[in-house]
Parts: sequence; C-alpha cells; structure tokens
Amino acid sequence: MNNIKNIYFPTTLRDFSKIFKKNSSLIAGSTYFFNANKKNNLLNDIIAITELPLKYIKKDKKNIRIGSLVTFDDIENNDICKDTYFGFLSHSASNCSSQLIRNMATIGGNIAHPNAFNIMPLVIETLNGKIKLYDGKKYTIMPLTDYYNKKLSGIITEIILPLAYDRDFFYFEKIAKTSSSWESYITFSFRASVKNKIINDMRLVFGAITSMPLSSINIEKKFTGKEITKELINDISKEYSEFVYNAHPSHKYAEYRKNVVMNTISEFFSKLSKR
Amino acid sequence: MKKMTVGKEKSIDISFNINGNDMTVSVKPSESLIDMIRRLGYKGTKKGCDTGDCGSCALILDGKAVVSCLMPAFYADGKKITTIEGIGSILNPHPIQKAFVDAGAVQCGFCIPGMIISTKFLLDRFPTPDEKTIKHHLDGNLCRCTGYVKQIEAVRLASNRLKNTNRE
Repeated sequence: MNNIKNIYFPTTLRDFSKIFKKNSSLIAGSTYFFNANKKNNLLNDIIAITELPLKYIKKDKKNIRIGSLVTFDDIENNDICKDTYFGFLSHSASNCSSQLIRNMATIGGNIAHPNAFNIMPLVIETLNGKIKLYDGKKYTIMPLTDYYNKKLSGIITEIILPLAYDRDFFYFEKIAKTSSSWESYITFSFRASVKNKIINDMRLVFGAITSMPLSSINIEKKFTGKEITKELINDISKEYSEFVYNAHPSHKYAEYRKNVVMNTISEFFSKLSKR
Repeated sequence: MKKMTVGKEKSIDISFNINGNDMTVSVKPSESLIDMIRRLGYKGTKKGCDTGDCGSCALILDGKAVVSCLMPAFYADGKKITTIEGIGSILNPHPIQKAFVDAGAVQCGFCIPGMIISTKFLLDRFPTPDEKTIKHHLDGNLCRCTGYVKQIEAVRLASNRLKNTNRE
C-alpha cells in the first residue's frame, strides 16, 4: 500500500460515483482489506466508504432493508432484527467471529469477500434475499448468486430480505468437533414453513463446505408438499447427508460432517413435526 | 468529500484524540493502527497475532472496542481513541483494572489490556451482564495462561464495584 496516492472518504453516493472506477479498491469495516493488501504495492487510490449513508436497518410492509455498512454487532442488537424471523438475523449475526470483529465487520464486506465461513451469504440465501448494487451510474437488484456468478463491479448498498417468511421456522447453528477445530466446522441455516405436518416451503443452506453457500433446489422440491413422517425424516436426513458429503468427499472431516448433517436435519424435522 | 493525498515522504498527516489529548501525526498508508499507537509510546496495547484473532491489540475507537491490527492508521483521522493508558494508571487504576488484580485474573499479563478494553466496552453497554453476555463479549480475547474462569469473575467483580462508584 506504499504506492497509494489518494484516499477518498465520500459522504454521498453522488461523490462516490465521481471517483469510482471498475477496479477501485474499497475499504469499509477493515477486517479484510487492510491485512490482505498492506503489502500490495499495485494500489493507487483507495475509497474508504465508511462515511456513506448506508448504516440503517429499516422495515417496510414487504421487506427488511439493511444498509451494507451495518455491522454484525448492529444486527445482533437491533430491535427489528431481534423481532423478525423469530430472532434468526440477530442470532446468526451473533455467531460471527468475535465481539471485536463483530464491532467492525460490515455485512456488505461479508458478502463482497466470499469465504466458506462467511455468515451473511447463508442468511440471505435462506431468506431468498436480494442485494442492491450501485455501479456509479445505476442501481441493480439481484439474487446473491447473480452477484457472484456475474462478478459485477460496484458497491453493495443494501440487502433486501422479504418479510413473507417472518412466521416460518428457523434454525441457525455452527457445529464443530471442538470450538477450535475450524476444519470440521459446518454451518446450518434452515428455514421451513409447515402446516398440518405438511412442508409448504423449505430452504436448507449449508456453510463452511464450499466457498459459496451450499443448497439443493432439487432436494427442496422433492420434499416440499410432503407430510413429515418418520420415513420422511429418515429419507431427507439421508439425502442431505449424502449431498453434503459429495460436495467435498475428500475432506478430512467429510465423514464427521455427514453424520452431523444427518443428526441435525433429523432433529430439525422432528421438531417441526411436533409444531 | 474528505481526501487524503500522500505526500512526497509517502506519508499522510492525520489528527485524532487519544486518551483525551489531541494529536497530529504522519503515517504511512500501510501502517496499522497498532503500529502507530505503539510508535507513539502507548505500549500497553499489545501486538499479538496481527490477524485479528487474539484481541491483544484491542482499543476503543469512537466508543466501540476494535482490533487495531486489522485497521490502517489513517482510519483514526478525526476519531477518538481510548487505549489501556486512558482507562487507568498504576497510581490511579480503574475499578476494572483493580478487579482483574483482585480476582487473580492476571498471570503473564499480555492479554490483559485487551481483556480490560473489552470489559470496559461491555460494562459501558450492559452494566450488570450475566455470564453468557460476559463470555460473548470476551470471546475475541485469547489467554494462553488461564482457563478464563478468573477473568469472568473479575468482570463480575468490576460490575459490582462500578455500581458503587461514579467513575466512567
């Protein structure tokens, strides 16, 4: 970073658009960028986006809208996040790293720098959320997968989470052999809607397995509309444990993860059947 | 829009308030906040892992406890910093510092400045935290000497003592 010429601190998106270029280096919470780039002498300019007006959590009739500069600590302690989705947002944010990091790390940064251990992409996928991207000229709203697949340039300004799932059943947990055994980690982020023991809708997303959140539309489709019985719990647990295992069969803890998935899914649907 | 331009000496001038004192210093764009703080003589803040994992370098920046090893020094411009030296001193220790000593929570002491910073942030926010909240707020401070039990006791002791004092 010793060849840097200018550091900009835009306070409005209009200012941002004047200085933003396709290959601009953006820094927000500083949990990723600085350590990754301090020895990088190719950077010329940096845009520190910390002063942009993107620190808000709002709720309208259809969605929760979270500004991309909101930190994990903000989400954990925000009343809207605590009261919606039965606290799923707050609980998942509280599982991010440590308090010192939760005070710094922004949800925009968690999305912009994909990593198997990131939490926010899982949460967005579970809730079928969308992200709003500003490229300096126009805004685009898109699903998370589009953002990753198209590798679009711009700044994530907002995360939009539909309230349609507010009364669904949620589960979020990070499980590992021991808390320091990061290699064995697996993150579960589940949502399901059940009425009279019939699965109306479900979204089961797994983290820490692949660099992007892992889910299977095919398995979800196969079991949606079915009644939760002992046989179904058995089948769905088996199917998902194979699915997760096959995503990374050579992994040191593949067998452990397979068993954890089997047990966790079995427990999740057993609880749902008793609702 | 604020713009910092790197000068001929490849440095930028930044101004901030540290422990109540206003200061202007030159920093390199690649200098971390921990390196700058220690260069200025505030050596109570420790440099541990340098990757944001151990919490030894914690300080309070505009009211929030953060790790200073992951942060560029230029981020401090216009901000208010509190380091362990700003919490209390040997002659006039803060009740949190005294509680850590009295609870026997200090062994080698390397992690303690970070622990105290995290405790200060916690008790400013939740003056009477339960054990779960204490553990949750100290989860970024690693200690290689103890089993964390004494530190949790120290936070409880500090919380009780702070109820009976006006000290911030």
